[in-house]
Amino acid sequence: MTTSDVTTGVRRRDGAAVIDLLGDVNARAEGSLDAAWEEAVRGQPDAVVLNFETAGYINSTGIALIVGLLAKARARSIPIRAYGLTPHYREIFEITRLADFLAINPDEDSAVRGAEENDS
Amino acid sequence: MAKLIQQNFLPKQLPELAGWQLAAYYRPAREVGGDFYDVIPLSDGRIGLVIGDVTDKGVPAALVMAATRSVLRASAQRLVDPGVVLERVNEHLCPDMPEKMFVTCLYGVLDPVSGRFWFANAGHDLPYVKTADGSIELRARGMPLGLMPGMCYEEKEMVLAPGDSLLLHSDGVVEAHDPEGAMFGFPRLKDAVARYPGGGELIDRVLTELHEHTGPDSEQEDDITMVTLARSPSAAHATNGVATTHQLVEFEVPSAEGNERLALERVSSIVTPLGLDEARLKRLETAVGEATMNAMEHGNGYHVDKPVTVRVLTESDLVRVQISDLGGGAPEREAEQPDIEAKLAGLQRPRGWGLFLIKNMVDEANETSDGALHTLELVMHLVDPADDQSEGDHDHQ
Repeated sequence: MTTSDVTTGVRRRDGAAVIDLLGDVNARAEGSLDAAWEEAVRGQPDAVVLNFETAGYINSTGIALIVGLLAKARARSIPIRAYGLTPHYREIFEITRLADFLAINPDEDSAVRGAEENDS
Repeated sequence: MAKLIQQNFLPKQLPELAGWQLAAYYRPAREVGGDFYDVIPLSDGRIGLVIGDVTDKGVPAALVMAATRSVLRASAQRLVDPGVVLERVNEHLCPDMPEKMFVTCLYGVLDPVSGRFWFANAGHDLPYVKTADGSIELRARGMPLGLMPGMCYEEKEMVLAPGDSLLLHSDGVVEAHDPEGAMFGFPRLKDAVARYPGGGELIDRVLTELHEHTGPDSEQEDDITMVTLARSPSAAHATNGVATTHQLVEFEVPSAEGNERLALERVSSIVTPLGLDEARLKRLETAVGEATMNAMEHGNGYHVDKPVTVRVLTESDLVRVQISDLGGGAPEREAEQPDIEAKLAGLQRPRGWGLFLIKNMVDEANETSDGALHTLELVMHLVDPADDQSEGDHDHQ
C-alpha cells in the first residue's frame, strides 16, 4: 500500500498564497490543511492557490475538508484556485460542484494570475 | 505474552488460489487458549491446511502451539501423506510434552486442480463439507498428538466439487454457551455449513449466529478459530439466466481508518487485466474506496475485529464488486443528498459525499441487506455503455 499522510507547505507568489499538498488528502490531512490555511491567509492574500500536483489519493473526507476551506474563504472574501488536478479528480470536482466555487487552472502561473483556463 | 506468541505464529496472509476462496478467522479468548491454524504452500501447487488446539491456556499452551506448528511445517515439506506427517509430529512432541497436555490437530492436503482433499485427524473436532446433498462430516481416526509415541493416523480423502465448501473449526464455536448454559452445538454448525455460502461469508454467518446464541454481553469463553475453503462454481447463472458469473477473488479488510486503500488497490490490480480504460478504472477505485469506508464506519463501527468482505466477480462484459459489512440491521445510510451550496451556507455538514460519489462513479450501485449483512454491489461495464450506444447509433446511420 502506498498511503502517505499529507504534508503541506505555503509559498507567497505575486500576491497569492500557494498551498502545496504532498500526499493523501483524507481524514488525517485535517490538521495539516487547517494549519496551512491559517498561515496562507495571514496578511489577506489576493487568492489562495491549492497545488494538487503532488497530492495523492483524495477521498470523500478530503473533499469535505476542501469544502471547509471554501467556506472559510467565503467568510474572508478570498478566492480559491486550484491546479495540478488529475483528470479523475477534476471530474470529481465537477460532479460535486466544487468546481463552481473554486477556479481550476492548468498550471501554477495561470492560477496565480487568476486566469481561467478558457480565458487563455 | 501468550497472545503475542500465538499471533506471531498464525499466518499473516493467506495464499490466493485460482478458483478457490480461502478465508480464516481467529479470535483469542481473554485468557488465550491454544488454538492455531496454518496454511502451508507445498510442492506442485498443493496446499496444506492445519487446524489445532492445545489443551491448557496461557503461555504454556502458546509455547506448545509454536513447537507443534514448527514441527508440522517442517514435516509437511518433507512428507507427502497427511497421516505420516501427523505420526512424525507426534514422535517429535511426545518426549517433551508437559504432563497432562496434548494437541488435537487436523492436517489435510488440497490439490487445487483436481479438488482432491486428503487428510488425517489427531482427535480434533470433525470438519464439515457442504456438498450438493447437504453437509457431511469428514471422519478419520487418530489419537491427539503428544500423548504416547507410536501412534498411527487413518487417512481419508474426498474430492471437493465446484460449489463445495469446507469448514475447519475449533471447539470454541460449538462449546459457546447461551445465558441458560446450552451449547451452540455440532448440529447447529453442521446446519449452518449446509445453509450458507462458503468462504468468508460462511464465517460471517456463523459468527452472527454465535453472537445471537451467546447474547451481547457474554464474555468469549475460549479461542474461536475457523478456516474455510470453498471451490468456486465453475459457472453460476446470473439473475437473467443467461450470463455466467465467475468469482475472481474474495478477501477481507480489517475495519481501521485508511484501510479503504487496501481494498481499492487490490481490486484495481485484479480488475486491470480485464481491460477497463484508465478513466473507468479510476472511477471504480474511488467507488470501492468510498464503499469500503462506509462499510468500515457505518456497518462495522471501525471495529478492527469486524472485517469488511470484498468480492470481485466478472461476467462477459462487466465487473461486479460486492462489499459487505455486519451492519445489515442498521437503518438506511447517508440519505441526505449533498448540496455544496447548503454546505457552504452551514445548512449541511461538510461530509456526506461518500454514497453520492459511489453512485456517480459506477454504472450501477445496488444495496441489499439480509438482517445481518449489508452489501453494496458496484457494477462497472468494461466498455462505457454510453460509448457502446453511440457506436451502435453510428452503425445504423
